[in-house]
Amino acid sequence: MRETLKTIVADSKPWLELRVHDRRALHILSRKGIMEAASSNKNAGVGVRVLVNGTWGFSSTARLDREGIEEAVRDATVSAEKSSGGRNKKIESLAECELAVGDFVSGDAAEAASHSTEEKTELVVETERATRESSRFVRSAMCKYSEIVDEKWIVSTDGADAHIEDSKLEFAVSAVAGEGDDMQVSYHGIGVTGGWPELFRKWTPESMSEHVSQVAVDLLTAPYAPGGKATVVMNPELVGLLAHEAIGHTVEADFILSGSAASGKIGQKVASDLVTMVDSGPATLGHRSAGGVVLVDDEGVPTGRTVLIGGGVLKSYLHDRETAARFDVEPTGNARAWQYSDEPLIRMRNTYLEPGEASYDEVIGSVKDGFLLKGAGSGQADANAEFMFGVQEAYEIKDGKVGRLLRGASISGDAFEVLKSVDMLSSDFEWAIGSGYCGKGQAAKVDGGGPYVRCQVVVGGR
Amino acid sequence: MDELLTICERAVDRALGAGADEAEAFAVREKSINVEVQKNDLQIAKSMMSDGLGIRLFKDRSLGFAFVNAFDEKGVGESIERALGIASAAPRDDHNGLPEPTGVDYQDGLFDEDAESYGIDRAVEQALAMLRAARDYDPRVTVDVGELAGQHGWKAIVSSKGVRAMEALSVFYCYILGMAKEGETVSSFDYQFDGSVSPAGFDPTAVARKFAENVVGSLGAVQGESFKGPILLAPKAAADVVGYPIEYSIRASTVQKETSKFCGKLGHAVASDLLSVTDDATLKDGFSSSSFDREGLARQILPIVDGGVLRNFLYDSYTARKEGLESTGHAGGGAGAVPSISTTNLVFSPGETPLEEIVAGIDRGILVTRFSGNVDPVSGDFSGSVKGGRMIRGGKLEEPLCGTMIAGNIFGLLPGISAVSKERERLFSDVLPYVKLEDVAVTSG
Repeated sequence: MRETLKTIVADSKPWLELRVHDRRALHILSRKGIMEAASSNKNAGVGVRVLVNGTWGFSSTARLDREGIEEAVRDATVSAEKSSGGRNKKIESLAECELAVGDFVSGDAAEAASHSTEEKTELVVETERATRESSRFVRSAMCKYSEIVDEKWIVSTDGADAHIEDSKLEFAVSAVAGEGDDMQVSYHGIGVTGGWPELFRKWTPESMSEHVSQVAVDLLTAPYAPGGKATVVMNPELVGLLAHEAIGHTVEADFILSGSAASGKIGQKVASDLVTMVDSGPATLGHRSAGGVVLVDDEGVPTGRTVLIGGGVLKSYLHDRETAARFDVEPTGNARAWQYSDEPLIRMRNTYLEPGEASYDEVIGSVKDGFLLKGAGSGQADANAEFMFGVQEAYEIKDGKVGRLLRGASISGDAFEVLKSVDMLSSDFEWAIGSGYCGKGQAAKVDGGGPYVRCQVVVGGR
Repeated sequence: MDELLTICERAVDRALGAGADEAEAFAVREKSINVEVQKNDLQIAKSMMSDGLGIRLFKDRSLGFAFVNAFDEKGVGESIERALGIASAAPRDDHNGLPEPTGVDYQDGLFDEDAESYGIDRAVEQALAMLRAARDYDPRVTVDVGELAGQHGWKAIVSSKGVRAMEALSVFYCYILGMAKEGETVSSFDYQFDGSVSPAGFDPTAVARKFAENVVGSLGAVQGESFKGPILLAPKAAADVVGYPIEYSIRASTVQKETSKFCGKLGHAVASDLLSVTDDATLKDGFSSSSFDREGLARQILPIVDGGVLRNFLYDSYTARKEGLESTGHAGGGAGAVPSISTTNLVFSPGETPLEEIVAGIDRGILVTRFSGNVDPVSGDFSGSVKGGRMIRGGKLEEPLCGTMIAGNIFGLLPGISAVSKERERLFSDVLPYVKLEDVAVTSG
């Protein structure tokens, strides 16, 4: 495959990038005793990108013979030629960097494959059943297991020649508890780049099952959270979500060019001195199997650790080669494409707040009247950094002690204002959102996390 | 394109030959052109041709499924093996199985002949017209992303139970998303959409102007007031706050799992008599219109809520078999996954009151243009930020709002809907009016 791609690229006059992507995925989902999904998918093809007259053209095909790829190159070229008249700001160049050459392996596809489909199916079915039967209040449960195993070859006219193998696994359990007309849901998901030992390092199927069942049932008798601005301690999952959704997107260079909230703020104070926020390709902190690990991005740029906010000051945006050239900086390795048929876009990888020095007990003990917030529900964030997320579990904190569980809580506000209010971070660190997907037209596997963080935020309730 | 039916037939035969008790093959072949706009400029033009084959089979009443994005003998053979492998591991379920064919009444107007000649030139021209219209409206408007797309293709399905159907579909659409900026002030985001079966059936410039008007109108937003009172949900907000929980609750799968608030409510009032909702797979230019569902069964127009009374749930063959009923033809999804119940085009009936009159009747309330927050379709609890909101005072739309939140339980609020507008908007597959809810908690600050 590599040699065919190199021969085609060698013959090309315009800039050309070929990305062959062979994806095999397994999804098993059981809900309330019913196998809702049990599928094995194979999706393979080539994404072709050309740069002609300072304009992109893209085409994709599942035909992987030389003739098929060459036809896709011609289609992409026609798209670029015909649209170049409409593009005002031509791409003068792509940022130069040492493009990846060689083999890059993340995850452990062989370990995941060593578990049979029967074993995976049984795990899902049994975990769902155990969750559903854990309490008379649990009306419904769900369990799912997913595997995404990728093999890619990226070859470009300016020297990328990378062969990439990666495996990402996910496992999630949820419970719906009910009493009369009242129903409450609890969900917990984990996701890693790796095999089963990495996936079930902290949480086991049993502990997840017990956890979601307990929380869903407890929520039935929980009073509503009161609304208003409050001192809160956010857990690593909420910290990761806030870092990703509400801050991370605003520093993606394509959003910067559209005037997002972080636009023009490099060098400015945007958060408390205690805040250092990073987006990294490899997992540079905690365990090495974060769910968003990317060793080489989909433009063939080797990834590293990008400090977005250092000591409260905005340090960098996230770039692909096009925006890096425009901003005259090094590309940060954030160009990612979900499938062969997608063109690379600026996406995050593993986005987190670095830990501080306090112990967890010190953080909780410091709150006189506030909330401990754990787990993210659904939510949204805008490019102006305004966000609103549901909170799975909100607990009162009174005089430094965690108290009763509350339902229906959400948090909202301006994410940069929240970061400015950060005044304490615990010393522990967790990757916590690896089971999730980021959506930006295309999906992407990402992770995020951080320590327990004390800050001020508007809590929505009743 | 009879080739697709042949591919499906061969796959079904091979699956049966390999040991499946029942087998179904669903094949798609699509061609698409996309022109994307970003940062006020044309970003990329793309073309794609894709094939997909989804094979669902049952062995000893256990489900197996596999997808492959090619039709070659080797790929199809491997997929059947993988699907059989899963079926051998999956638990037996006596309700599993494929449906008997229903016969399909093919609809006209799902495919436009011009789709096949639609090229990059035309797509670029339409995308640029959309971009220009937004920028010309007001220089403060920033187009974050936009897309102009034309897709056409064929889908075919064959099963060992005798289902055999194929049709061509085309869809053209555009959307635009962004904000307005004035100095340091950034407006709320807004997005607008239009689509059609034909390349001439939608208007990218009108979409752009509406978007520009909304984002410019939300500049200069101020903190509003906290109160409990009426809120007027614009169609986009109504889609999230009202449409989504209804859509979730009417699927037989959620009803059977008792995670639907509509369990046991068939024939009972679940909303104010002003609310009527239909699932219409025959809607002209509907984003989700089609003649047959993902199991090859006939589509239909199904009343869901009629004058506030719950009339029907949506079934696929599995959920129907569980209750001894017929499928309503609502198996959804593409070739890449096991069919699952979904709405087609969810159409809210128009009310009798013009929007202007509804606003005039509100003494103190807010207009919610877009909702950004959390809606739990199981409990109905929602809470989130008001985007592009406007204060309503003395029957007039007043200042744009920021930092305003709304919260409540939608199932508790549905019976209290006090107005539904005559005016409606299409949002992808759904058609919605403005909906007025009473006694909602509005929090500011």
